[in-house]
Formats: sequence, structure tokens, C-alpha cells
Amino acid sequence: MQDMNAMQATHFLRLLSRLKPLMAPTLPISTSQQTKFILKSAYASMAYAAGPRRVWSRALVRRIRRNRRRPTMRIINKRRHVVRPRRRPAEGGSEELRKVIPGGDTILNGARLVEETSDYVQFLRTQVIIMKALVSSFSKGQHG
Amino acid sequence: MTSVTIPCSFPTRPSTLFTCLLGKRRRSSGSRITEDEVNELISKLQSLLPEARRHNLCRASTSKLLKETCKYIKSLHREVDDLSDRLSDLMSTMDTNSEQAQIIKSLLS
Repeated sequence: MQDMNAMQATHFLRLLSRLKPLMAPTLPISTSQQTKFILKSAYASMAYAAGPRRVWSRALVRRIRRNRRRPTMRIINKRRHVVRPRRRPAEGGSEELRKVIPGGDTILNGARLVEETSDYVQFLRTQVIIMKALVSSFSKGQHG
Repeated sequence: MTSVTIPCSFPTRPSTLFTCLLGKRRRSSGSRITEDEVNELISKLQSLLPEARRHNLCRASTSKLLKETCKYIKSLHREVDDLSDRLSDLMSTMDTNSEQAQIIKSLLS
């Protein structure tokens, strides 16, 4: 488990370091673009650390790739449209949970959903810890 | 029962919520979802929540537990959002030779 955390941190730092190339002068990007990049990097490092074995990590990677591609006019071929399986609207909160977990709407089995949720939460928690640690060490550097 | 039990009472049959949650049982397999499996899923969900959020969930229904889990995940998303903002602020005042850049560099090597 320790290795997983270290891997996640490494992914995140690698992505962050793209913002500040240490050799070349930095290209000016707006703060909002920078924030978006950091946010994407956070979820990306979670997904990369988890690997392709999880529904949520695959969904996250797909989401990132989709956003990166330039929005073009696409002619939607109806034949290739993925048919979502129809199911009775579930009682209780499982519908909402499926919306919150990336790729959750494709998980039909409730036991699987709980597994994915548990995994996702662990990686999310780790990501928060990593980012808090970075924020505190950067803050110290500035005021130190 | 040797499995970990949550100290609250469960209906003897899995509730309809859980039947929905567990999905359609495959007709071909003869196995029913056991009460143990239901308990296990519930305890797993409960263990995800940090202490502060567990409060009265012992007595609450499964749907309450699911709602709490959703709330928790959403709050984690907000935290990541907020931390991204702060990191972005800190990094924009960071120049390439500063201490912060060195931190990143050293952590990566």
C-alpha cells in the first residue's frame, strides 16, 4: 500500500513539473488554465496509480483523453452509439453513488459498485494527503 | 456467524434496496445473495466513512449509508478542487530556481 501511495505521488509530481520546466523559460499560461491542469493532473495520477484494472480509473483516463482532444464537429453515427442497458430505477442512494463514481453508471452489480467505491475513495484520500503535503511544504518555503 | 457484524438489526430477508443494489441475480446460478454477503457490503461501505461521519449510521437504513457515502465523496472532490486552487496560487509565485522547484526536482530523482 505504501508503494501505491509513493507511485501516486510520483505521478502527480511528474505531471506538476510540466508546469515549471526547469531548463526552458516558462510559457505564460493563465492562472485558471494552470488550476485546470493541476486538477486534471490530480485525477490522472489517481487513475495511473490504480491502473486499468478498475472501472473508475479507466473512466477517468477516458475523460481526460476526451477533454484533451480538440472539440470538433462530429457526425454521430447512430449505429455505433453504445446502448446503455435499461434497468429499473434503483431505490435508495445507489443511483446517486453511480453518478459520483467515474464510470459508475456502467456498473450493474452492486457488490462491484461497493468495491469500486472503496477503491476510489482510498485513492481520493491519498490524493488529498499528497496535495496537502505539497501545499504545506510550498507555503513553508515561501514564508521561511 | 464468524463474519464481522455491525451492531444493528437487519431484516431477515435482504431489503428491496439491496436487491436492487446487488443487481439482478443470474437465473442460471442457483445461489441466492446471502445475508452474510449483504452484511459484508454494508460494513465495507461503513468502514469507508471517516469516524466523524459515521455517527448514527448504525441505526440508519442502507439508503442513508449510501447517501452519506455520496456526500463524503463529493466533499473529497471539493477538497481536491480547493487544493488545486491553492497549489496553483503557490506555484505561480514560484520561479524556476526557487526552493519549491528544487523540492519537486529532488522528490522526483
